[in-house]
Order: sequence, then structure tokens, then C-alpha cells
Amino acid sequence: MMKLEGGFIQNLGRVYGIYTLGFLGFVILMAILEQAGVAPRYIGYMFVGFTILIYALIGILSRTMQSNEYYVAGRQVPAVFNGMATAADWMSGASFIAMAGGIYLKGYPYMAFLVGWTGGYVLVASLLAPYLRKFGCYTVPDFIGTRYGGNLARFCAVVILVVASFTYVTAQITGTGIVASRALDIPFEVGVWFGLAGILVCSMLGGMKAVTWTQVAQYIVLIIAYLLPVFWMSNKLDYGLIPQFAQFDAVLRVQELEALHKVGELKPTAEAAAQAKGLAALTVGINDASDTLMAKWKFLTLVLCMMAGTASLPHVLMRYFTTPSVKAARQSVGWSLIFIFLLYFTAPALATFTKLSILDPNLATGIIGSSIAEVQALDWVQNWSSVGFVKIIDGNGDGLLQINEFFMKGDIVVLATPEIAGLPYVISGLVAAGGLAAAMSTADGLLLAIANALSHDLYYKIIDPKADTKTRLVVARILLLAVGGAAAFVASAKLTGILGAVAWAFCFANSGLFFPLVLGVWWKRANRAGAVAGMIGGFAAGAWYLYMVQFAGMTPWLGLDGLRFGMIGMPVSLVLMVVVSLMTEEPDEETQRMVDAIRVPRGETVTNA
Amino acid sequence: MSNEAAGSSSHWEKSKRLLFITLAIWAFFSFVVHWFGSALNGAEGSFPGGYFMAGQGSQIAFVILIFWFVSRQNKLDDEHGVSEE
Repeated sequence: MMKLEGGFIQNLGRVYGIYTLGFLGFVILMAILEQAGVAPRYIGYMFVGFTILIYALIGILSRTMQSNEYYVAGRQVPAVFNGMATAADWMSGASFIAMAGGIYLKGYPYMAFLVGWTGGYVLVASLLAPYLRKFGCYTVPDFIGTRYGGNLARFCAVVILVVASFTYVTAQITGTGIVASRALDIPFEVGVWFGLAGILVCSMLGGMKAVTWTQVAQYIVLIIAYLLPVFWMSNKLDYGLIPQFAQFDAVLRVQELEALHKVGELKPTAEAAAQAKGLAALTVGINDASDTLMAKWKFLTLVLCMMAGTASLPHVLMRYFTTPSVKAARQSVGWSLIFIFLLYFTAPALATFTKLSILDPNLATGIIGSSIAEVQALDWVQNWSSVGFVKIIDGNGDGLLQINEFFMKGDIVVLATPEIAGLPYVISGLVAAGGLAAAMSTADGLLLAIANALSHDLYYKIIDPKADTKTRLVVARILLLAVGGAAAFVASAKLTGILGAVAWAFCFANSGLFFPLVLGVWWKRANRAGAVAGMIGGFAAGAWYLYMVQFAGMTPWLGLDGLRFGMIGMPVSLVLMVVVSLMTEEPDEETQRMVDAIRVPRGETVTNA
Repeated sequence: MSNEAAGSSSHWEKSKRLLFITLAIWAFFSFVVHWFGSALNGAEGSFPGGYFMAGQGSQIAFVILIFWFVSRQNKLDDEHGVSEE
């Protein structure tokens, strides 16, 4: 097995090269089958079924009973491949399915997510990843617990990790449920459990090792699925060869059309808005960067919260524990961002071209301003109306479709664009497979982060330090199953919309973990009392504020709404941590030496868990 | 041993300086640029600079910044003899 493993690592480029060609061949085969008259629903089944089968196969082949492989993939994942795995780990159902739709419906202010979710990696590379890799821990609470010492610090970190990651993972399982139910024609509640089964097959047997190699495979599927339709549409509709660069002229054209269609001026009638509950009409311009202080403040605070959250979310940080060296960990962050960037800088282009397709009366796809009867006869409008993603309500009764009469769910910008632009169904099947890959890969990373923290930190380090490897790995798997089941249960009860919950996860993580992690490396004087105060205080302040604003009807302070509660949690955490650390004794010599050791790449790792 | 410790401490001072430079550039593309988002958009019909920076520009800057930081830090580690063998 060891020999085979070495062979596998040496041949990664070839293995995934063949895999990529195989996948493209599969897409072409599906296209041929479609032309030959196979019904679209079967194409959809095959896309979802084939890709899940591949992931399951990788998961089973990567099974392991060694703790080093289960927790950190044997620490032999090369920087570039770890970058791909991180990108899949990172880009969730929200990034894939909801992001372009958010940019479409909410315009400029929404792009704060793009800036925040990429810039956070600068913090990961410079403040944390290489140092945590040198530390040699299995999990993020492992670092907190060892650096500060004591079970209380470890326990606090576990609690924050579980809350943040669980919030996030329910959103991912919701995402898998949406895609699976649509592609397989099954009810959403069933789709959720179906998705969970696919997720667990990838992680149960092989832990981090299996998740790593499936995530690389999932990245390849999701990036092809995201880019191909956008390039196709851009070229088919003659917007330009490379959509990402061609979009700026399109932005100007959209702004002309917005004036024509009175976007922003026409609002939905109260009655129509009530009827179209959960859907939204376009009421903001594509590029209304407001000059008011409040708008700038809201943009920048969202950027900051998402960045600090990126640098404190354990499922991201733990990916950098799997590289062979400190240097590779650092480089790997750069590769991660390149792979993420490929999708993120395409999302605004997709939103812009979809908007242009819908608004431009000179295009065959333009529907705004056309007669409602005609629009309602369109295939894609019928398809997506039937599942409640699109609704047309003739508010003023003139029989023509105005911008404030077309209601949609943001998700259709990605899911329905191939149909809107008149691309063959095979592209829709591909997009479904991509969305599923994105949501599954993130869910895998999150579930593993939670279950590993519970099994390694709570069970092994706190409850039963004498447990042998076999018991630990069995416990880890049972916990994985339990956490996954709980997440799927919450998701099937439809407790929250995809993105609200995602932003919350970032704020939970940065409120509780950002400063204890960063100061653990960069400030020797930080001690246990300070870290515990910072974790509890920051997390409690953030959670309290979220509760007050979101559920108790408190007016947000300075416009800091539920997406930005890290702006309350983080300062509380920082101040408490610094003040309490300074008021109590400085860390002992052994801890100081430990911090010195993680600051240089050379030498053995600090812990050998 | 004392020699190595002295080497490490100057290594850490330089690492800190590199960190501050990196974070300054990071802050510029994260916050300063977007503060001027509406100004960058310019007059009607001109290139939408604010949109570009939020949608692509900052992301490109972050990618370049990380690779620059990594190469500087690697060089620093080599110079002080603390890089991995």
C-alpha cells in the first residue's frame, strides 16, 4: 500500500490529467446522446450519477486506518494539488450557485463578498498557514489547546468551531438538496439525504486523505462546469472571446438599458411582492457604487468580516496541515487563491451577460418589454416557474413585462443561464454536476473539520487520552455520521436561506477564533487566560448581537446587520485577550520556546499528535 | 546555539517587517481602493473602474501579492539558514 501510495503521489499530474480528459469525453458523449434524441432528464441523471460514482470510487480507494492519513492525508499533498483541493473545499454551493445571482440582484454592494473571500487568503498566507503547518497539529483546536495549554482553551475552540462550521454545513447540504432534487426530479427533502450519502461516501473511509483526492476531482468538475457555459454564451451571443475581459463594455450597455427599462425607478407593487414571496425583482443598477458614507462603511465592514472569517474557518486552515513542508503550505495558499480566482472573477461576468441577455430588446433572449403571454410560453420560463424559481405578475395589467414584474430567485442566474441563452441541455446537466461538486466538496471539508475536532480534541485529548488509534478512528467515523445526519435534518427542515447562514459562519469564526489564532503566533505574551477570555467574550458578544439584531428586533448599530456581527465580536475578542493576558502571568518558558520554534521553518514539528 | 538564536531573532524582525509591508498592500486593495469606488467609476459612459476593482482588480492584486510575499519569505528563510533542508 505504501509503495502504491508513493506511486500515486508521483503520478498525480498524469492521474488527474487522464481524469480531466475522461470527464471532457463524458461531456461530449452526453452531447452526442442528446443530439441522438435521449431525453434531457436522463442526461441529467447520468451527469449526477456518473460524477458521484467517481467521487465514491476515489473515497473507497483512499480508505485508511492510520491516524496520520485520516487526519492530515499523510502530510504529502503537493502545493498545487492542495491548492485545488482547498479551492473546492472553499467554493461552496453559495459561491457556485448563489454568488452570480447575488451580484445580479444586488449589484455593486454585493461584490464586497468577492473582495472579502479572496483577500482573506493574504491573511491566511502571511499570518497563519505556514506557522500552523510547522506546529504540526491535526486540528485547529489542537493548536489552541497546545499553544495555550489546558482543556478549557481547547474546549472553547471546539465549541466555536462546531457552531461556525455547523452553520455553514447546513447551507451546503441545502445546496446539494436543491441541485439533486432538480436534476433527479425528487423532492427536496429526499435530495438532502441523497446528497448526504454522497458526501459521506467520500469522507467516511479515508478521512482527510479521501477528502483531499475527491476535492481535487470535484474542483476539476466544478471549474469546467462554471467556465464552459460562460465562455460559450459570451461567444455565441457575440459579447467577446474572453467574457471576463469583455464584460466592461457590457456593463456600460446594461446601464443604458437600465435607463430604458427604468431599473430602480419601478418597484414591485406591495401586492405582487407579497405574492412572489422569496423571489425578487431587479431594483438596483448594475454599478451603483454609492458615494454615501454609510454605503462605503457597509461595503468595507463586510469585506473585513469575510476576510477575517476566511482566516479563522477551521475547514480552510486544516487543508494547509496536509502539505509536505512549511514552504509548500505557504505556496499552496497562493495556488488556492489562483484556483478560486478563476471562478470568482467569472461570476460578475456571468451576472452581467445574463442581465444583458434578459434586458436587451435587440437580442432574441430579451424578455423585458415583451408581451407577457409570449414570455410565459418560453421553455425556460415554464421550467423554472414550475419549481417556483421564477414568477411573472403583471402588476399594472398592461400585458407587457416590466422589470418590476419579473420575479426570480438569484440561483437561476447560474442554473438557468444555459437555457436562457439557448445552449443545449447537456450544458445544464454539466452545471448541475458542478453545483453538486461545489456543495459536496465544501460539506465534506466542514463535516470532517467538525468530526475531527470532536474525535481528536474532545474525545481523545480531553475524555480518553489513552484510546488506541483504532478506537479513535472508529469514534471519528461515528461522529462524522452523527454530525452529517444532524446537518441533513436541519437542512431538510429548511431552517435558513443559503447565504444568510454562510455569512454567519464567517462571523462566528472571526468573533471567536481570529485573534486567539493570530496572536498565538505573533504575540508571545498571549496566554491561556487571555485566549479563553478572547474566545468566550468575542464569541458571546457576536452571538448576542446577532440574536438581538436578527431575532429580537434591535436596531443595528451603525448599520451593522446580521451579516456583519463580527464587527462586534472581533473588537471585544481583541480587547479582552490583550487586557486579560497583560493582567495575568506571562506564558512559561516552554510555551515561549514553542512559539520560537514555529516561527522558523527548519526543524521538527512542535507537536506530534 | 546562541549564534542560531541571534540569527533567528533577526530573521523574525525581518519577517515582521515583510508582514507589515504585505498587510499595508493588502489593506490598500481591500479598503482604500473601494472607499473610492464611486469616484473610480468616473463619468457616465467611461470605463467602470470601481466595478472593475471590486469584481476583478483587487482579486488580481491579492494573487500577485501572495506569490510576492511567498517568494520574499522563502528568500528570507534561505538567507538566515532557517529554511527546510
